Amino acid sequence: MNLASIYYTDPASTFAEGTDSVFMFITWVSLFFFVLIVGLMAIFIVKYRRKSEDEVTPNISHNLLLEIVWSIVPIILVLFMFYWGYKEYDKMTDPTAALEEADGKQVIDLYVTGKQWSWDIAYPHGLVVSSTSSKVKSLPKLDMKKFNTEDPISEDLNYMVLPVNRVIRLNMTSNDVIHSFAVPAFRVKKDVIRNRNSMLWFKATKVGTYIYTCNEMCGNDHSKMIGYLRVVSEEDYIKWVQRTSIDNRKPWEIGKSIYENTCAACHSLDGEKRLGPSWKDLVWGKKGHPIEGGTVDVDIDYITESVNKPNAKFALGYPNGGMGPQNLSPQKIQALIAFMKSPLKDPNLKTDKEEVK
Amino acid sequence: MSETQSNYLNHEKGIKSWLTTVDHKRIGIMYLVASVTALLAGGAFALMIRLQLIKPNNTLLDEQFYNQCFTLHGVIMVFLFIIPAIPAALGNFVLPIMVGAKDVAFPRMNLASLYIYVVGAIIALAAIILPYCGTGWTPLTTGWTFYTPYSSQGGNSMYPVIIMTFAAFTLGFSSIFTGLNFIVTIHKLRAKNMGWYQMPLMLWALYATSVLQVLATPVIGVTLLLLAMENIFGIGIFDPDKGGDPVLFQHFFWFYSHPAVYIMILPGMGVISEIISTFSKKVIFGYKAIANSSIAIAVISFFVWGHHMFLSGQTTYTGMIFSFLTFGVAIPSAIKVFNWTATLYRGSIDLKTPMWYALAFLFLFTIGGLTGLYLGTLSVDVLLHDTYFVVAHFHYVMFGGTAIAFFGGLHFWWPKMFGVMYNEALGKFCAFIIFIGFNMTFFTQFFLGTTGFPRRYHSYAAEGFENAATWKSMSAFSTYGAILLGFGIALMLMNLLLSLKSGAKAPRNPWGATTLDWETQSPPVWDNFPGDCPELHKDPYTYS
Repeated sequence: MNLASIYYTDPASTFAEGTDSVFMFITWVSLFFFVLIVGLMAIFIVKYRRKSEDEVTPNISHNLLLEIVWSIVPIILVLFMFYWGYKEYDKMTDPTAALEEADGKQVIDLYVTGKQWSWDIAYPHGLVVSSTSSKVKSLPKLDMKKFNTEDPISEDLNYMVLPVNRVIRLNMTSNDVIHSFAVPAFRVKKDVIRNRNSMLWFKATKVGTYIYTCNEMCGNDHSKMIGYLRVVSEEDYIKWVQRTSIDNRKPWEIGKSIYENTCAACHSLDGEKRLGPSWKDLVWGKKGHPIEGGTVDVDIDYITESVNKPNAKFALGYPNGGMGPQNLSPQKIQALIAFMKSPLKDPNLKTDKEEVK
Repeated sequence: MSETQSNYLNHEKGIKSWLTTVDHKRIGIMYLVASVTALLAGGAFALMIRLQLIKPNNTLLDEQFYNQCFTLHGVIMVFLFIIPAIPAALGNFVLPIMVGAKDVAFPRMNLASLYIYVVGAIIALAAIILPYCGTGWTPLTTGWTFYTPYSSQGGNSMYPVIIMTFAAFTLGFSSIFTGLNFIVTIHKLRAKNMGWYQMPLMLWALYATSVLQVLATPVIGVTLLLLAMENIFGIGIFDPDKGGDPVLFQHFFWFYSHPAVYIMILPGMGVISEIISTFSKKVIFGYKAIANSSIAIAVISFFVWGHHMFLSGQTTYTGMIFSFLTFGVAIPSAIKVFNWTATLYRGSIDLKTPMWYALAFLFLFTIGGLTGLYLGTLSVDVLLHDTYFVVAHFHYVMFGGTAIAFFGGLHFWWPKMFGVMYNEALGKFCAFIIFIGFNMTFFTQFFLGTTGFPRRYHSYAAEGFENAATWKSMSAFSTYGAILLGFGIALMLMNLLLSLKSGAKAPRNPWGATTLDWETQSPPVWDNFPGDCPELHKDPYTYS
């Protein structure tokens, strides 16, 4: 056991360095003041112990200079902590920072659902992994060595598997009460609330096995909402995705069949007018897409809402709606989006390797 | 206790004379008995929590019972012990004597406050016991924070929530009554010549506390009422399925509960100011700074509640503002600590038992305050939020701060309250045991927190992840500390109780203190001062 693991989890994401530097700064400031106060206290106790009952003490009521110094110095120090902490937090909560960090590569969107008492993580290729099975106490059995060396592709679906050095965006919601998703090694955490989409992003920097936990009291088995998260190399991730894909079809193929069976009756791809708006202008990632009474960004939130709560916003030219909620699962929506981004909709996307991300 | 001397304890006899008394001292004593009982009950639940966590994968308690233990530990300690302990027990006893009055401004309201407290405590007891009486109700497992929608799911779990929130609602009125009484007493009944800046700092602290109690408590009342209405009538205030907002509950809850932690700590700061000055035999350093910082803390504490929700989905901008304001409240607290330390300089320090507690307070509160800086810093809070780090920080402030100050105050005013001296050597020994036990219990939890151990976990795995060894060893060590701490508190109470039987008679002013409460006899006569109310002859903390 390494000594540092008493107080600290080996950092494994791009946030760790920033958070840990503020943490250490506060620690040094705290140590300084703690030693100062307790040290002076100890010295005074020894030096000024009462020697006789009729001792007379000096009448030191205050000292303006000293009081100004000990007010101003802490103010400056805490302002520094405040600003430094805010900068890091701002980055964590800013979706555009995630895109910058992605560095031209696609952001991998996962759907996380917290429920009493497990986490479901839905992948773009249709796979859903679950944090714990009800049989195990606390953590599923896992041989960490096995994964890292001999058998890089685990078949066990109790783990979250993620590629290293890629920006991962978790789109999280809850089926019931409030949960909170945390990965200590990544220094990230966010509450997960019913009927809300909480966004959390990070970029893992180190291949390894980590734990994630639920940090908001959610009922009897709160302590069992803990699971493993494995960060693997990009090649291993692609192999894993291929092996765990639903019926060997590519995501956009699954999406295509959803489109053909569910959507095509009302929505064309080529601009032809049917019962509902055509998807021709619905370009993935487009900002300011015009709709009735305003504009939206064509992102995962908008697509999810349009499918499952179609009357929340109305497409341009269709002010009365008319579509019913489709109740598609997150992974089906992911498949649908993969289809919307596939060559049929977007000629830029070509290789299989890119699609699965 | 001399038989010939008439005092408030022997002025009237019999249980009826106690139950119908309007004497603030007797009401204070009854509050003391009640809140120490609550401390023991809450402590028993705390020990059960620690015993469950002594080893990994422990099955000593089942999940539901464990969750009930930490819920009841929190509810009892917060609403029945910490909030009333110093203001209602010690404060009730000393405040009128300190201002030089015969009683509080509204003595009957004071008694009403005690009765409301007792009724609230009985309702709380009902919420705990009824699920086990064949009602088929699910025991209360929401934690003391009652977060929705977990607490508003209806069905069998709703009745204990409704009853317990009603208990907290009732206890709120008791707080408000005491607060109002103290505010009016301090404004109207001060001794002749006692201006605001001639008041002992204990009074400043109780004044700030009372203002918070009167202004903040109604908010928790309204919140808990809304929660009950949502549960009973299914109104969609907090329930997302009915169009409500679960995070709104957190805003309401912390709008009260953050000022409430200052309701809990400010009176402790008052006690510490008195003890440190008395046992250093020296004028308090920076009187005005300490007095004004009490008021500053009271004001700023209303604007920091959002720091409990940095991860709840509030906007980054909101988070930034609350983080900034939170650091604002750190400054007056720091100033107080500096002032107390400076008071020791060139003092004549007498290490009697109350002073041991005061020095322990300085040590522990400094750690509690400094660890607050981590949690106020946004990015670091992301790592530490809802982990044991928060538990440790909170206990360093609430136990290392308030409870230690309460114990110190109890030893300080014990001779005044009962006219007897406790065993000094045993008193110091207990203070030492409590100090060691406390640090063992809670310092270890900082390490649990920084390695990500979540709060309110019933059990944890023995191996299979990086920090498993830390979780295992620190949890066990924390439990050993808790046992030592429990032992120390039990011994301390025994020492105090034994002194009632066999303690030496206490003089009027055993510590050489300067405030008015030490000018009357020990224990005081029924109406505090024989004859007319006293005049103030010299400023507080004038020792020569």
